Amino acid sequence: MPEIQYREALRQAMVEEMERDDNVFLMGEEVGEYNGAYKVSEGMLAKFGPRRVRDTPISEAGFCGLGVGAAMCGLRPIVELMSWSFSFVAFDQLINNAANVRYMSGGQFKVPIVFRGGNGIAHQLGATHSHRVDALYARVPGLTVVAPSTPYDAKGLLKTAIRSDDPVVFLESELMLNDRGEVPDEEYTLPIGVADVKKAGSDVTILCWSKMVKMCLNAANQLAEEDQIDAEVIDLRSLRPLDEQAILQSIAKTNRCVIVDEDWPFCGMGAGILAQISEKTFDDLDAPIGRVCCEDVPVPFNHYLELAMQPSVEKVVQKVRQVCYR
Amino acid sequence: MAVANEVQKRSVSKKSSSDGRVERKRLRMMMLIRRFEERTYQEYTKPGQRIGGFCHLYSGQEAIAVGIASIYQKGKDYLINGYRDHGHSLALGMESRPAMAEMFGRSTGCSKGKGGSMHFFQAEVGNIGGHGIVGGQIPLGVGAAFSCWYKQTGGVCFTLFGDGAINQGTFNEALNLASLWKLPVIFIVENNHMAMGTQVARASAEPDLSQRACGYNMPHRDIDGNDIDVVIDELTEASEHARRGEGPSFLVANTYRFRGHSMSDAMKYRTREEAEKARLRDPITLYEHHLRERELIDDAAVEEIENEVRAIVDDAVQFADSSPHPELQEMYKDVLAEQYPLQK
Amino acid sequence: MPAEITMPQLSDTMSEGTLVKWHKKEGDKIKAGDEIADVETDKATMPMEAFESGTLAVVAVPEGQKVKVGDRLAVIATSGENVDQIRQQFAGASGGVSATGSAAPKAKAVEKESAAPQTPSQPAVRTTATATLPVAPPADQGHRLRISPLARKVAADKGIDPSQIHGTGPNGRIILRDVQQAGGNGSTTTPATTPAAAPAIAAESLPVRIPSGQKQVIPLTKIRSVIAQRLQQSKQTIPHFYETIDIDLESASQVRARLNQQLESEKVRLSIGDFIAKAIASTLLQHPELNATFNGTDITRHGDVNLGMAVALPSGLIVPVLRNINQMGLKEIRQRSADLIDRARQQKLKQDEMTGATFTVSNLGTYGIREFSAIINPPEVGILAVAAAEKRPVVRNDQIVPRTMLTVTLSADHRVVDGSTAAEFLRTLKNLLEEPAMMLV
Repeated sequence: MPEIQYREALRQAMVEEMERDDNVFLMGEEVGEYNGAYKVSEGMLAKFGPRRVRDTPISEAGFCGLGVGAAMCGLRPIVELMSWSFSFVAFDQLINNAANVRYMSGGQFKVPIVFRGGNGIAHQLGATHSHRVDALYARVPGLTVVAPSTPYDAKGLLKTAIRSDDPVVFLESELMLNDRGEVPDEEYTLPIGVADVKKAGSDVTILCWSKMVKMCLNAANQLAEEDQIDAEVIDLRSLRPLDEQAILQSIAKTNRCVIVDEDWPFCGMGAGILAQISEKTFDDLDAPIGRVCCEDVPVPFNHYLELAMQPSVEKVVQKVRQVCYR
Repeated sequence: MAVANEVQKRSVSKKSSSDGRVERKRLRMMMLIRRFEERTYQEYTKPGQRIGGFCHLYSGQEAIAVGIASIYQKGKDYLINGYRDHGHSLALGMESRPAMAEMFGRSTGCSKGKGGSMHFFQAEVGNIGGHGIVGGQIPLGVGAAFSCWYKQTGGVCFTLFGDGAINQGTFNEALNLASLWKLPVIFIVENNHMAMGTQVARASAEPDLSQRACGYNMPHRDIDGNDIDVVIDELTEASEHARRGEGPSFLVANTYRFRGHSMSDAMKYRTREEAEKARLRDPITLYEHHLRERELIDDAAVEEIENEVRAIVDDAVQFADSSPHPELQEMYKDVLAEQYPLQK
Repeated sequence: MPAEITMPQLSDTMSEGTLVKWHKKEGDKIKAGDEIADVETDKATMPMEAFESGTLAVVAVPEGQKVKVGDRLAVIATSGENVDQIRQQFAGASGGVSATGSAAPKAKAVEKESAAPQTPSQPAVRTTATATLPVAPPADQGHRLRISPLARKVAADKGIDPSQIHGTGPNGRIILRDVQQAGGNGSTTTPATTPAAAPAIAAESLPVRIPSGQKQVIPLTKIRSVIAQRLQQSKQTIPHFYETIDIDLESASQVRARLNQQLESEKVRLSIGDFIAKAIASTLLQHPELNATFNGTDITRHGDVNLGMAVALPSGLIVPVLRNINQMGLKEIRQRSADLIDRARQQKLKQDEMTGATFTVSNLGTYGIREFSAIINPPEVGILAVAAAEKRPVVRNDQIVPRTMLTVTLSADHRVVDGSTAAEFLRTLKNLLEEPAMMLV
């Protein structure tokens, strides 16, 4: 199987879907002539022309709303946000329009649109450009939130997202775009709403997604070597809908759980998942569900502080030991 | 489309059609909307409040909605609106029954009782909604126009909002995108001179709202929104401009709402004199007067229409009131279009 | 004035208690309502609350010490009082128990620490901000059984009493491995569930096979030694007499079946025991001689019926009290008694739910016991022993017919109650149960 970058996987998904359906088009800042701020859409303007690869002004509320309107009227827009941090100026368009129109119209409209872009902390971008929006969107009925961790998942899930008749918030990470992974030549799609057991284990369940998956697998290796703790690592892949069944099954087996989350501790994504599952797993738990999250501060600019505020392999290892009473 | 073809240049449009049938239809629709809104007011204020929530009445602004409907091409055009959306929905062909039932929150409402007064939708005629957040719908209208452009359907999107929405960021972003991409949008400001309770002059640094389009390189006009003939003429020009692929236009249709912003509005910001003066420019009275002058209607015809719209609205209220509330299960429906886990 | 904390009387019969654990140390700030220590009474280990705010100036007894009711445990310096002065004042005179040796030198440092937050030099920036308000470190460690949900479930499945397990998790939390070790790694499994109305039979109370040629010496637990002492005292000092009567439950059983049908939708299922409890309450109102307590000099008759219900636990007998049962309907009796018994099994009863009974009922019906007599629970003057309801051949109109019959035995204190009074009580009880509608009258 060829090994390709995460960004190439995203591009392959978009190109294949645009070839498959003329209603699919890409829109965003610098997606066309500049070939993508992070080169995800490189070459797509040349391939599809300006009708279907639309450079927008820096105008998130405008083009996100435009996308929703176009989706209501039969198109299937892919809206690239250079950073999910910029979605805040378009919040109303996602929360009120994309998510609510179907419900408020009594099911008369569907909104098949994908909003995609980099989420979370990258390298020293400062507090404004480092937001983790997972929980902000995953809490909204009407939206679907997907956060793949590998090129293979990114391609398969983006294709499904584009084909979905619901608005999808697709969370990538600038720091994952160079990651390489095997992606088959043959066409494939992956299901939204199904978690992936990245490593089976019996002692503790580690829940993670997106950028945190790699870190958790490293932590699991260290735990196996140093503590003989056999951790099960579950990549949630989709945050809404959440694959509760996979989570509950795993915890029923391991009786312990650690949620690793790049978000803040209070009302963050991890906090939301914790609330969702703690009641249902109560009798299976031998220890409180542990969490590793960011420190409760804005994201600092300084490189070392920025690293220190985030989850790390060491923090995951520590927390797992704690819930395993080691 | 027949409706579109019968509208011609402003200089000729005041002339009668051969038998006045079209004009009487327009007058009838304006009167139906008025009757509907005034009855809504009554029902809303009755003890027991069968209509709940926010409710914004259109009385006094009917010429704009009916004017748009006169040139609207069903099947390819779209209309999007803010929350003062009853009039346009009726004008585009929504029956009074589902409209009234929606306000009653009943399962027979146009949105199954899940949208309410501010969220009327009718997909099959391209009515893409009443929208509750001031200015939030303007980019959606541009998106609808984008779909017309993308598929080259020749359709346009009538994008409506009030003078209050102009000061929102979305207004500026939407106008810029529409003009930059030459999209077939007609932006229509229904300027009733009052953003909730704030007069235009207290909210917009530029009191001439049509000037607000100057930075976006598109035709812009300030028009009499109470004269339906004027509205039709101006909209015809703007829509032809758009259909030719020449991009958006910006029309400020000056009008006056007779009722408060919403039901709880005591309208302390208005004087009695101002309101009485405005009544003299009631779009229905004006149009009726024109039609009488042109001998297209008489007392008997007006009375007949009055009786007819009263019966329609009475029936709608009765229908709404006797309709069931949505089933509890309905709460969980229409959240998503797909079943999950989803693989396609 | 400094506030002295003394050993509280936490139950009717308590004369001394053991200070099991201090949650506060000398110098700690205390708010009224804080749990400052755990005290073991003859029935249970209970948290002890401070009634005053201030600084804990003197800890007068070390952990593990027995203290008579009313004796001093600690002294709180209330606001504005000098902690050191109070400490000196109470030093020699600490009720015969000397303060722990380390207390005095420690106090100064502690006081400094506690004063620090009020000085303006406190750093304005916290090293780690939190979105929730800063909280004080938990002060109530150890006052209740700490056990992980899974460990609790497994312990219940294995029939192991968690209070007998040593917890090795944080703060002494009992975790899975502790239960597994206690239960021999899960090899000793016993029936997991017991009928709701039946006394719990846990592993501990089952006969343990002692290998031939060996002996097993079991020291009395606190609760067991109290039972031993009190029942001996009762049987030796109270002149018990016993009266037994047979009651025809045919009619009550039919009423019960009908009511349970009606109550099915509410998921309420009345037991015969509920009917008996209800009938006892009604009977006692008519015979206040038995709804009484006796302290050796005065007889107190009570206007309300607080019915004690003997429940067997693996660790011993416990008697939760259904207060004001005379005001309850059958449904409420069912729900409240189920709740009480449930919580009795989990050792979650509050103190006032184990005291204040005016009469007690002991029911061994689920064991198929035909007839037995019970020992009075002083200061009460009567206890009713309820055996099993069963079909028996009885003579009705000179015919032998099968009827559902129940035998009950009243034990009464002859110092207070005479034989005829007891007999009248039993007759009323019999009448009410044989014609349940009479309870409405």
